[in-house]
Amino acid sequence: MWSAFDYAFWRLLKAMPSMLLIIVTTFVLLRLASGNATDALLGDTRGADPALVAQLSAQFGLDQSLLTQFYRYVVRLVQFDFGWSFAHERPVAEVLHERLGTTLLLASGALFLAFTLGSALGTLAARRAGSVLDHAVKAFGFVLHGMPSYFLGLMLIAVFALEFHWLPEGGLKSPTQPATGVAHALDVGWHLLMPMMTLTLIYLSHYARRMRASVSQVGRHDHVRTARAKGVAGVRLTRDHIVRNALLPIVAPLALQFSMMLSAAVVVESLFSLPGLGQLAVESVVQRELHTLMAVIYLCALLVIGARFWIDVLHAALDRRIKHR
Amino acid sequence: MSAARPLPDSTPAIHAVPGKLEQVDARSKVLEIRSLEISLPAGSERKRAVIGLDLDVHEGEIVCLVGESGSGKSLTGDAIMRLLNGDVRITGGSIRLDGEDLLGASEERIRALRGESMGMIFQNPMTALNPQQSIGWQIDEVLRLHTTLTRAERRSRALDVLHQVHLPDPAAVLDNCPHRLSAGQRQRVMIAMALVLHPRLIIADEPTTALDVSAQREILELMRGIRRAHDTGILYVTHDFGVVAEIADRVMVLRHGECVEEGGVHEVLDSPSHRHTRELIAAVPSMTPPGPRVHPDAPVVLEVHGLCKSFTRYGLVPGRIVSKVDAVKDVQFVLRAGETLGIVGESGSGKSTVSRCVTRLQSADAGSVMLKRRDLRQKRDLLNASPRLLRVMRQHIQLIYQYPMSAMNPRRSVLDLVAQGPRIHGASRSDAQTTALDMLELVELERSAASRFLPEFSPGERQRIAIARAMALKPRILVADEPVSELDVTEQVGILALLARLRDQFGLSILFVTHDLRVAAQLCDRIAVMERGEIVEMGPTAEVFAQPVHDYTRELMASIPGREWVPPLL
Amino acid sequence: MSVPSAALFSTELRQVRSFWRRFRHRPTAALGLIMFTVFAVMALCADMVAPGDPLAASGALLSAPFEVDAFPLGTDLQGRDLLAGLFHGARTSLAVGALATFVGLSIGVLVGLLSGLSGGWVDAVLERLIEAIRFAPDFMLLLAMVAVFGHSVQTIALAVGFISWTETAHRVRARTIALRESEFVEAVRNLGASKATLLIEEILPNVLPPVIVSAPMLMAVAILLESALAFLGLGDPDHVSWGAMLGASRVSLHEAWFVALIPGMAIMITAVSLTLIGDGLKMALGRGQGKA
Repeated sequence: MWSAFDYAFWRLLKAMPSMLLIIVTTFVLLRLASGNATDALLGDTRGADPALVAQLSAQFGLDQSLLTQFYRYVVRLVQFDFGWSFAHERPVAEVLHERLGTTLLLASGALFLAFTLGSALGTLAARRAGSVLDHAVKAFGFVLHGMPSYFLGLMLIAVFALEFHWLPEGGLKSPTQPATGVAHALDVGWHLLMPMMTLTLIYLSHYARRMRASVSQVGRHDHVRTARAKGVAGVRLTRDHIVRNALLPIVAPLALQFSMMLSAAVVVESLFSLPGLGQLAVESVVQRELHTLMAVIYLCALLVIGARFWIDVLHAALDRRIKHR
Repeated sequence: MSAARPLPDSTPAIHAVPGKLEQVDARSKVLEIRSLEISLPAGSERKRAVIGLDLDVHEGEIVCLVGESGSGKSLTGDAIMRLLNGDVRITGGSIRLDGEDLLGASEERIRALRGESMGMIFQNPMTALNPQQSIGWQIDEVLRLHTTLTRAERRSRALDVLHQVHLPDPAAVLDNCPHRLSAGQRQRVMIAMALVLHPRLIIADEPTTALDVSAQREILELMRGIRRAHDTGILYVTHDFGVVAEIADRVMVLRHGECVEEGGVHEVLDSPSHRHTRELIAAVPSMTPPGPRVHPDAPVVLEVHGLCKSFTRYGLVPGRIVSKVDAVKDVQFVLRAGETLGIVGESGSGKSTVSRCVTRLQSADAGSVMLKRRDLRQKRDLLNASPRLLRVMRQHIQLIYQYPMSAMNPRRSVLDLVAQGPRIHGASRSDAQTTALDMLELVELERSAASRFLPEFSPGERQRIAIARAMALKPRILVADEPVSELDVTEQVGILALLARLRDQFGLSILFVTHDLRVAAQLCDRIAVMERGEIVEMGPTAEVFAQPVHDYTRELMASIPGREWVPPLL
Repeated sequence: MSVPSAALFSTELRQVRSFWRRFRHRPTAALGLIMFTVFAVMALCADMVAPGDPLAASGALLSAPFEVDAFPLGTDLQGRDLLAGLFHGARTSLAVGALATFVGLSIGVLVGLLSGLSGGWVDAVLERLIEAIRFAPDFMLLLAMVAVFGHSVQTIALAVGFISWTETAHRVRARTIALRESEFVEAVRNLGASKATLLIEEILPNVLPPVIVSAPMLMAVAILLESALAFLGLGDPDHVSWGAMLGASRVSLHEAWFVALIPGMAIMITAVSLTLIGDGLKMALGRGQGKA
C-alpha cells in the first residue's frame, strides 16, 4: 500500500506548478478588476471606516511594487489569510470555513453515488447488450447529458416539494429542528436529498455510458477469452476478469470530474439556497467582493488537488501494473 | 464441481511410429470431428469458414492443423471449446470428446469440461493473461472451479505444474503479476494453466508465433514432453511448416475451410499430393544459402563504424538515471554494391535500432554512417549531415517497414503515397505520378491500384506498395526491417522474389533485418548475427550456417524448428 | 495521363461524399440536425415572428399558453411574452454558443499544436497551463471573469471561450505528440520531407478532423454555461436569455410551471440536438477512415 501513496505523492508534486498558475491567474484577475487596488483587494469599501481601510492598505502592502505585492499575496494565501469580508463582517477565511462542509458533502456525495450507481448500471447494460435496459440507459444518457442541472432541479422541486410536499424546497435545515445530534444530521440529510439527487442524476448517465463502453470493450479482450476457456462464466467472469479491468479507465478521470462537480454545485446550491462555497461565490459577485471569490477559487483548486491525490492512490491500488518503486 | 480426477499412472506412452497408421488407430480417440461446418455472418467474404471437416486426435498424439490466414484453422479450435463469438456459428457436423457429444451438450456441461478435460493455449501471451490478478490466483482459479481441493493442496498443485513447465523459482512466479514476466514465461504460464488438471485434449492456437526462436524451441520441447508424460492429445494450429516438421505426428492442411490433405507427418511433408500443400511447402524458404554472388572487391556503398545507441530514462531528480538500456554497442560493418547483408537477431538484440540509426530515423549516440554519393567518389557521414544535405542523402537510402498499414497513411490513395517521395524532392505533380505508375508496374501491381486505398489490398500487396514507394526515389540502398514477418508463406515468397529481382535489375544493396533465419538464408549474401546490441558473428551466409563459430549463433541455428527436414524439391 | 489527376481529385470528393452519406444514415444524427435547424431558424426569424422588445412587459401576468390569443405561449410573472422570449433567447444562446466555440477551438488548436510540436520547455510550460485551467472549476472561473470584465453578451461569450479551450488543447496536444512519433509520419520523414511539409500534409489533416467533430459538443457546453450564468441573474440584462427566463420562473413555480418548462426544454433540446450531431459526426469519422 505504501507504494500507492508513493506514486500519488510524486504525481502531486508534479501538479504544484499548476497550483502556482492558478494563484497567478487569481492575482492577475484581481489586479485587472479595478483601478483602485484597495477596492479590489479589500472589497467594496464604500461606507467603511477610512482608518480601517488605511490600516489594511498598509498591511497588505498595496503601496509597493507589483512583484512584492505578488509575493505577499502568495505568502498570505499559503497561510489561508484571505482578507476581510465587509458583507459578512468577518474574515473571509472564517466564512469559507463555515461553507466548506456543505459543498464538500454535496459534491463528494454526488460524485460517489453517480460513480457507483452509474458503473453498476453500465456494467449491467453491457452484459445485457441490446436489451430494454441497454437501450433505456443509452436513451436516458442522451437526455440527461443535455439537461441543465438547474432545470432538473426545478422540476424536482416542482414535483416533490411543491406538488407532493415530500421534500423541502430549499435551505439546509428546518428552523424547528435542534442544531446538533442525530436529529440534526437527519434533517440536513433530508434537505440535501434533492440537491444531491439532481447532481447525481446528471452525472449518473455519464458514468453509465462510459462504463458500458468500457465493459463491452474489455469483454472482447484476449484474457477474457482465456478465462472462458478455463470454464469461468457468469458473475465470476464479469466480476474478476471484466470489471476489474474495465473500471480502471473510469477511475482515472474522477478528479477532473470532482472539479466539474464543484462547478455544478455552484448552480445547485443557489437553486436550493444551500449555504455552501458555490452560493458564496455567486454572492461575492453580486456583492462585488472579488477577493472572496478568488479565495473560493483558490480553496476549490486545493480541494481538487486533494481529490487528485486520493484518486491517484485509489488508481495505484487498483492497477497492479503501476510500477511500485 | 467434480472431485479431483486421479492422476494417470506414469507408464510411458507407446510412441506410434509416424506413418504406421494401424498402431495409431488402436489407441483411443480423444477428439473426433465429423463434417464440421462453421458459418460466417452475412457480409463476410465467404458464407462458411469451415466446410465438411473430419479430424481425429488420438491420445498421446500431436496433430498439426496447417493453413494460411483465413483457412479456418483457428476457428476450428475455438469451435471445439465453443468459444466462437455470437455471429460466427457452428451450423453442422459433430464434435466428440472422448465419445461425448460437445455440440449438443449444455452450456453448464461445456463449462465443466473446459479447463478440466480440454484446455486451450492462445497465440499472444502478452494479452492472454489477466493483468490485474497474480499468476497464482489465475492458476488457482482453474483448480477452484473444477476441484474440491483445499487451499494448501491447490497451491502445491500450482507449484508442481509451474515446475513441470520449467519455470525457474515457481514460488516467486506465483505471487507475480503477468507484467513482470517475459513473453516466453507468460506462455509457459498459459500452458501450465491449461495443463494443471491433466486434460485429455490441449488445443494450441499458434502458441509460438509471437515468440523468439529460442523461446519457441523450449515451448515445442515442452509440448513433446506433455504428450509423453500425460498421454494428452494435442491439436496444434500453425502456419509454420518448420514447426510441423519438428513436433507433428500427423498433419492436416486446410484451405478456405476445407481439408485438402491429411496424413502422417513424413508422408505429407516429403511427398505432398495436393496442389495447395505443394504450393505451401515450395514456399518454405530452404536452409540452403545462395552461392557467392558479389565480388569481394565491389565498391562499398555504406560503411558503419562504432555505432552506439542507448535508451536512458531519467527520474524526477535531474541527472538521476532510472534505467539505461544499451541497444546498440559499437556496431560496425560494410555494405557493398549489389550485396544483401542480413542482420539477424532475436527481440532486444538491437537489430531494429541499427536499421533506424542507419537511416537516421533515430539519432545515434556515437559512430558514423558513411554513404557514398551517386558518383561513388565521395563519402559523407549521414549521422552528422546538415539538414539540407540529409534531405538529399535520404534519396539514396530508403526504409521498408514491417507493418505497411501503420507505415503509410491509409487515407491517401496509393498513387498519392507512391508519388509522395518524388514530389517532396521537387518533381512536378505529373512527373511524380508518371514515376509512381511506373513503380507500381515494377512491383507487379496493376495500374488500377493507383486510385485505390490501402485497406483494399492484401498484406503482401501492401508491402509491394511500400516497396514501390521506396523505389520511387531510385535509392541505391534499401533497408528492410522485417518486411515479410507478417505475411503468409505464399506472399512471403513473392516479396522475396521481388526483392531479388529488383536487386539484380538495379544493382541495389539491401540491408535485411530479420529474426527468421530461413528467410535470411534465402536472400542474404552475408549475415551479421546480433545479440544484446553487439554483432557476435559476421560472414558469408553459407559459411555461418555451415560452421557457426560463436556460441550464440550455434544456439540460434539449433533453435530453428524443423531444421533437419529438407523440403523436397517440387 | 489524365486519369491519375482526375483520380486524385475525385478521391477527395469521394471521401467527403461518403462521410456525408454515413452521417445522414444515422437516424439519431439526422434527428439532431433537424432539431438544431429548427432552433437556428427560430433565432434567425426572431424579429419577424416576435417584433418589438421581448423584455418589455406587454401583457397580462402569468397567462397560460393558449389562454390569450396575442400570447400563444403565455406570459411570465412580469407579463413578458414567452414566445418572444423563446425566439429571441434562441438568438442569444446560439450566438453566444457559436462565438464561444469559435474562440475556444481556435485557442485550443493553436496552443495544442504549439505545445505538441515544440517539445522541450515550451511544451512543459504550456502543458502545465492547460492542466491548471482544466482542473480548476470552470464555472467559478467564469464567475470571476464576469465579475472582472463585465457581463455584456460579447464578454460572456469570450469568457466562456476562454475557459473551454483547455479540453481542446489537451486533446490536440496529445494527438500531435502521438502523430509526431507515429510510424507513418516517420516514414514520410524518411522520404526526406521537411518539418513544414510534415506539418501541413500529415499532421494537420489528422489532428483537425477530431477537433471539428468536437465542435457541436463544445457548443452545447457553451450554451449550458451561458444559461447557467443567466439563471443566476448574472447574465446580460439587456438581452433575453433562456437561462434568465428559467431563473425568473422560480418564484412562480407552484402556480405556473409552464414558465419554467418552455425555456428549460428549449435549452435541453438544443443541447441534446448538438450532442446527437456531435455523436453522429464522431461515428461517421471513425468508421470511414482507417486508423491512421
